[in-house]
Amino acid sequence: MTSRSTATSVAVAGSDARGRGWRRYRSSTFYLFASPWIFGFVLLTIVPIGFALGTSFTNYDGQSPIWRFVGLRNYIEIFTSDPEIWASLVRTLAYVVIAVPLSVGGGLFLAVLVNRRIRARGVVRAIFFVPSVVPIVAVAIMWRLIFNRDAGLLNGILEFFGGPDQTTWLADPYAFYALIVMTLWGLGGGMIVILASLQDVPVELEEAAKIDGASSWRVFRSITVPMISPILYFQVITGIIASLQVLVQPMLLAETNNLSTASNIPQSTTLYMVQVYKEFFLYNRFGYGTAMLWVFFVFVLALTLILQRLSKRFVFYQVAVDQD
Amino acid sequence: MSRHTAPAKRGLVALAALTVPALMLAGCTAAEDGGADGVTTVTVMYQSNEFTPEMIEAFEADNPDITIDFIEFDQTRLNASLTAGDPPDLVRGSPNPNLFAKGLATSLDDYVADSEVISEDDLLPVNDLWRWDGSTSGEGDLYGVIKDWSADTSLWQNTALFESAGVEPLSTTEVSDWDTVLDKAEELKAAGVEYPLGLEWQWGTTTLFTTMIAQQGGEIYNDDLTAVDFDTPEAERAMQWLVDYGTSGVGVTSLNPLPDGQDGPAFQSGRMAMTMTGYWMGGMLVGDDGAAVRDTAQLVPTPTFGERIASVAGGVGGWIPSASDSKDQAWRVLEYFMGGEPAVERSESGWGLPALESLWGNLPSEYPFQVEAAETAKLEADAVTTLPTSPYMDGAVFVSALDRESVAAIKGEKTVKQALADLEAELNDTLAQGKDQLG
Repeated sequence: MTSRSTATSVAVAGSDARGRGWRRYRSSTFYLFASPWIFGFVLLTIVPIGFALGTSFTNYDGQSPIWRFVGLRNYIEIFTSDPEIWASLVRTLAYVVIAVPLSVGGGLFLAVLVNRRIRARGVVRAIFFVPSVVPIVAVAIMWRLIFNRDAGLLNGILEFFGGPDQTTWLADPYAFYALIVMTLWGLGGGMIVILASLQDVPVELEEAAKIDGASSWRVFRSITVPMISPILYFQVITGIIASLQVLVQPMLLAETNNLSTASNIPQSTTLYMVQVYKEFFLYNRFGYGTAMLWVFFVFVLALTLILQRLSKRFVFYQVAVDQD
Repeated sequence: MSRHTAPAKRGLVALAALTVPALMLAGCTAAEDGGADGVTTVTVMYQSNEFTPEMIEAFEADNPDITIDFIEFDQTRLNASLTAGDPPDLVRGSPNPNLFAKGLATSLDDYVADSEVISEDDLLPVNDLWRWDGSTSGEGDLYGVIKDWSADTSLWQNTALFESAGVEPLSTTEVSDWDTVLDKAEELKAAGVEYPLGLEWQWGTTTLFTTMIAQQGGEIYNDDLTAVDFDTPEAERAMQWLVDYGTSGVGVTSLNPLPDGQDGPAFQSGRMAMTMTGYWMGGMLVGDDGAAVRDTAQLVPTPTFGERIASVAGGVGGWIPSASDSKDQAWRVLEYFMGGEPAVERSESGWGLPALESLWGNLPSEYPFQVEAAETAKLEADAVTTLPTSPYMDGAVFVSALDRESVAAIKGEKTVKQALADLEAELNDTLAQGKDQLG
């Protein structure tokens, strides 16, 4: 309180010292320096968002000047007569429900594992982390080679052990699970973030609990996890949002990587954003596609707010106790 | 002092802000319109493996008043440029009544009438795919010229696989029945052939589906192309055949796609007995990859369900956007590419058939299969029919919906009738919206 008052008085003193003209100049200086960002924000964010909102009420096709205002028709179609959209949303939610917990849980498991005092710990950490920095195109190519029906590693191993040798992993219904496997391959990225948060867990708390007779599992469950819960929550939220918006991975992982026809992406990996992509770039339905994106935006926003509200029950933030 | 100089500085800044972009724009305009040197730049959006740097160099050497600015084909970029009203001057594409109805393409009738390279008499009927009279495709003004083509419903067969399986190959002169083809495929499957029959499923099955309906005398669209009716025995038979094909496991569908994305490599390597690839396959058999099956490969006429009808799935060619600034110059480039030396070279290669009658004498005849294929291709050319296409719907919608519904029926999730009803409903919704847009 004392320091805040001091700062205020200094600022006032400074202002008085330079007079009215200087105050006005300082304001303009602020806007001058902020103007590139403000200009960029308005031009590249506000205007496109406004344009997208307007487009969602039209039948704009993205290529011709022939379009008109259609009111809520796009939104009505989404909610009443397009089963593909809801099917893709259900698939997307299924993907989120499976991939996010496994990613966060797997990342936590690996972080705890490499947080222990083991031999060559740095090398092990690097091995787990490296997949997460490999470009997604390279990752997809690698997994396509593994899942390839005719010459893939997986079918080769299965054949060696007497299993089926001609399974088409990258077509329905297996493509969905192949996508999840590919997603989990990069969970080393989450591991690094959680590992960093584990360094902040006070050792004295864990030791005190152990002195009181708590088992390792109890210490982990009652001290470690609550202490890193803000980071886990962050991982969950960003993981959900990223998983909901997955687009490139299903397209790259399709057995036939030819996007000239819509049928080449298996139905089981036609997630919501893939469906949006089809509406835009295969069917030229830009108005409808933007309406889908607005519906999705509201959905993600609502989901985030719900999780934010629920997080109060299981996320524990460290607060500074007022010593006064 | 500062009070007097500040406005002057602001004025200078404003002047500079106006002048610099204006100069830049003027520079751009000068480059596009030719400017003082009289050279016009024609922007060509094509695929570089088809429209090669060597072709560009040769054209520019013969036409010093034209410079070609080449852009790799990109549908998204094309759409953006069309929307902005600044499209390339010459574009690669498939005949699309939707494009014509929106007034985005230039009629080439006057250019053809005045041309000494591409004449009306020399244009094969297959170019009618690029015609549109305001309500019907196949008639009216010409909006593009085909680069090369094939009756894509023609089959190739590898007689060696038939013989080893003890199955009689299809006739190369008589038209077979679709059911016979499927029966033979099942016999080949029973004899251990890995892929008895490929339909290039990954490129879409709409051409096959609509051809089968037309062969039975059925209609695909109503008279004004605003609705489809698949509650017909013709549509049901066509869909049933596709479903039988999928459930019998004799070939490739979306449920078991080929990693290569096409039938070609499987046929080349002797793993596929029949493939619906059209004349194109001939080009793939000339190289080393096709050596294994070159002596036993045959082009077979399009099978039928009644009337002899063969269809062209693509008809890919070049068109000039109506918003082009340099239509005359773009036509000269189009003329060169479709009727000049590049067209001659293509016709000699075996990759597709020429769209000009005068070039048919160039078809390759180095190998026996090429001579035989040319004969079959001539028979097929007479059977090629321009199937109706609606301007109110993008073809990709049809491809996607048909794949989804036929696969649902193959998996047993729907009956053939249900799949057809759902397909019809989806397409009619799309057509209604398209009609609403175009008026």
